[in-house]
Amino acid sequence: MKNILILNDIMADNYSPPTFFETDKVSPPNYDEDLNVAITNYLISLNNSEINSVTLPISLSNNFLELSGLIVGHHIRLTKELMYRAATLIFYGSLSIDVIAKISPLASILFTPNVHYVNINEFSFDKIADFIKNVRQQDPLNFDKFLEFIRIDPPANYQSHHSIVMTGH
Amino acid sequence: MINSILLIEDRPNRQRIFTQDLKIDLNDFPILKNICGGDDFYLYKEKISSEIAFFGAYDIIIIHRSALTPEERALLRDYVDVKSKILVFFSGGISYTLLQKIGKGQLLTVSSEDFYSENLVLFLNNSGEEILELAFGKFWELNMLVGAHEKITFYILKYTKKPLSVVLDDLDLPQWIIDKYVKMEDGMVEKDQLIAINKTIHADIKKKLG
Repeated sequence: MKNILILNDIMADNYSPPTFFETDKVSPPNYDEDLNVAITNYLISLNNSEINSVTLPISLSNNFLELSGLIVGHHIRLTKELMYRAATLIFYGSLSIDVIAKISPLASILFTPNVHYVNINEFSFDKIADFIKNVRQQDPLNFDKFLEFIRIDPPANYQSHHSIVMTGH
Repeated sequence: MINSILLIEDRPNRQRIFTQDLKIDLNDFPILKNICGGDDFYLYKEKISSEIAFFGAYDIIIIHRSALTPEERALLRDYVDVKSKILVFFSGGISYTLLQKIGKGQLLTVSSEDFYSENLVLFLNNSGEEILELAFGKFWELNMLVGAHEKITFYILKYTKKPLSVVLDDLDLPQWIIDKYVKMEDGMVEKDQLIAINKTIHADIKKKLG
C-alpha cells in the first residue's frame, strides 16, 4: 500500500521528506486547460496503485489563496472512479487550522471523517509517517455524511450557455 | 502610462451587466483600452494571427478565452512568454483562479464572474501595477504574507545559521515583506529569529482575517 506525499512548489525545491512516502507533484494545467482537468488526470493516473494515504499541501503553488491542494482533496473524495476515494487524507501547511478555516469554505473538508490537518511548525513529516503507520482501520467512509460537511457551489456558468455546450471552453 | 492594459471582450451585454453592478464604465480608465464587441473586436482578434507585434504596446492582454480558437490562444501564450507580458484569460468555463509563470511571462486564468468584480476595479484604480490584485483583490497582500510564512516555515525545517544576506537570497521574499518584518542588522541569523519573524507574520495574517 502506498502513502503518497504530494509536494508543493516550496517543498519540491528545498526539502527531502522521509522515504516512507512516495513523493509526487501535480503538474500545473497547461495554458489551455482548467485546473480541474489537470487534477483529474493526475488522480486517475494513480488509480492503478493501492493507496493507503495521501498527504498533501493546502495549496500546490506559491499562490496560497488558490487553495489548490484543498481542491485536490475534494476531487479525491468526490471522483467515483478513484479506487482510493476513501483513503486517509492528511493536509499539511504552516498556518493554524482556525486561520485556514477563515480563509475559505473549502477548508471545511479538514473537519470531515478520515481527514487530518498537520501544522508543520508543530509536527515533522517523520511524525506524520508515524501517525499514518498507527492510524486505525477506518469504517467505510460515509459519503452522505461527508457531503453534509462540505459546501460545493455550482459553477459560475451553471445555466449559462456554457452549461449546455460541453466542449470548446 | 496610457492604455498599457488591453481588454478584448466579444460580449458587450455581459460586460454591460457586470459593470452596471460595479457602477463603473471601463472606458473611463485611461490605462485600459477596452475593445468590446463590434468590428473592433474582430480587428483585434484577427491581429493575433496576422500581426502579433500589434500587441507590443500593451503590458497586459486580457481576453475572453472562449472567443479565441486554440491556435489563437497558443499564439498569445507564446507571445507573452517571449515578450515578458501578462496574459489574462477569463471565461465562464474557468472554475478557479490560477496564476502561473509562462516562460518569461505570466498567465492568469479566472472565471468571468471573478474577473468582472471589485478585484478589477481595485486593479485598475491602482494603475494595473499588481496582477495579484486582479487575481485575489483586496486579499493580495494576504496571499503574499501566507506565501512568505509557508516559505519561512519550510526554510526553518532544515536551517543552519547563515548570514542575513544569504537568508534573504534563499527566501526571495517580496521587498515590502522584508522591510516590514525583517528588522535586524546584517550578521548571522539564528533559527529563533526566523521563528520570531514567522510568528509576527502569522499574527498579522490573523489580524487581516479578522
